[in-house]
Amino acid sequence: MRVYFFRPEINQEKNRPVYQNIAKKLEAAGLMVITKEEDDSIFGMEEREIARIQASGESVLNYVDGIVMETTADNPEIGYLLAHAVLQKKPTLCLYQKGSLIKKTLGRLGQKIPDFIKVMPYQEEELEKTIAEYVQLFGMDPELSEVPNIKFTLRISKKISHFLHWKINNTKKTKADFLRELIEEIIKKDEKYQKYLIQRKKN
Amino acid sequence: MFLVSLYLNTMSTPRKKIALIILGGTVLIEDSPEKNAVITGRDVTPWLNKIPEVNIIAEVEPFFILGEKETEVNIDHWIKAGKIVANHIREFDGFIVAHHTSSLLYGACAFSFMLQNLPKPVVFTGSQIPVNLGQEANKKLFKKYKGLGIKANLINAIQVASHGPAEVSIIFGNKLVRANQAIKEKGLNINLFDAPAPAVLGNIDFGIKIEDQNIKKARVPFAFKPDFEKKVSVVSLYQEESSDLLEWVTNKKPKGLVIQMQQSSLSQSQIKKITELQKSIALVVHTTNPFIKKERPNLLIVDYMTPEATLMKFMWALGRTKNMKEIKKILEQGIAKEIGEEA
Repeated sequence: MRVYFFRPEINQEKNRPVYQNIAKKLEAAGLMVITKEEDDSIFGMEEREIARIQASGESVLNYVDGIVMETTADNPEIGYLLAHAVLQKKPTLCLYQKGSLIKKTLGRLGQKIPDFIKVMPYQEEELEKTIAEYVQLFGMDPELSEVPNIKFTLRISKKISHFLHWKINNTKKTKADFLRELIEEIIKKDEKYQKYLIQRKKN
Repeated sequence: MFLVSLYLNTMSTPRKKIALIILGGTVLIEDSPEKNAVITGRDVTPWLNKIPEVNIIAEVEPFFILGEKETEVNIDHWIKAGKIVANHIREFDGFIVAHHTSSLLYGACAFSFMLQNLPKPVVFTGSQIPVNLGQEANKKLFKKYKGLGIKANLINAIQVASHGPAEVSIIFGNKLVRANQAIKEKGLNINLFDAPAPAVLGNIDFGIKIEDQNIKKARVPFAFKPDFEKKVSVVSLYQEESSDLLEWVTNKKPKGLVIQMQQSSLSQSQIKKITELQKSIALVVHTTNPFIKKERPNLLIVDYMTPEATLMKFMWALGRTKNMKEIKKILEQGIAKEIGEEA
């Protein structure tokens, strides 16, 4: 899933680590993050794709699955993105810190805030949980994220170690890559597990 | 050349107040056809209620002039709409004109000449969908525009009216163009209007990028000059066309005549007829051929504006004077950035 991450006042030094942290956590939750840089270039989307969309007359917003915004400070771009988010029913996460006017802005819609828009305050310790809730709007199960961000210690024998070393020799892969791919392959082939996943989704 | 996103320009955003003038172009692409267009003034509120998204950006106040199914928009409607802008120029932060696409270019050009030195943005937009379209055709369009259509155009127009350039512009799809240099694309392009590069005022990606130089406001005071000569005829002339056509048109006694050359040159008999006619009637020849002006210095040839801008500027000039020398001077003088770089 691709999300556009709107970062107001990116040029301010104090905002950079905050935005980096949010982007890192979005990626860890399995989302592909697209941003606009200070020079207006778009990061995370191929130039060729952007040019094709521009030529078609459409907005690139139509080509992302969701929007994440930092909405603490009032900014005209927020209302604009929210209007398009409501129109296109895009899962949207409005992150804010104390003193934000975002709820007032959304109140102007004159109706209940749609379910696909999440307005959440964020503190460092709760950010992961907030993003996990947002990810569920895409029908994605955060427990099934494909991003390898869980540390796992595995004790292996000398024999296995020898084999792994031999296996990755002259490849660009690491031992961990090899093992991950092997497990992915097993997951794909495990019919029982696949059936279990379908059942889990239904529930 | 610097591109500056709107959000970098404005740090705080008090709620903007935008006037929405309705001259047609309101058909929404919806699954349900109920109240999906403004037919009469009574439809305005239920129609706007179908687009609650716009309220997030600004407070929108509608002004109804013309609905779908009514007569084609004409100069009287444009003057009426222009008067709304002039009378409320201080009250609103920007103006949107929802307009039928067929004559939108003429209307937008008329606006650019009658509303001079605009201190606020005036943005034209609309829907490409005719009212009461068959269900099958409607489904196709729904798919093409992904159900967005005028709703997306309106959201973009409100953003431009709130923070965009203080001039008359057109927004469709992802392009914002200067109205009096715009060209209409054929078919159902999402970007229905294009313009030469210097007249492209902005593009849309994740926001609306307005080129820095277009944000500057006029220092001269705003003036409303709605003096158009309405009795002007237009003739599209092909080289093989007999000059009888010109005779026939001038027998209707128009106050002015615009001859739009459809080919790069005129026949000898046409030149003779035009030279004769210009003694009794105000007449301009519009062409895209940049060489003909030197070949025919005795004719008033316009090759530096779009056909729509030429007609509306000529009507506007005729409304101010009947003296051909003065008309020529007005036509050649840039009034609302309508003259292309080639001139």
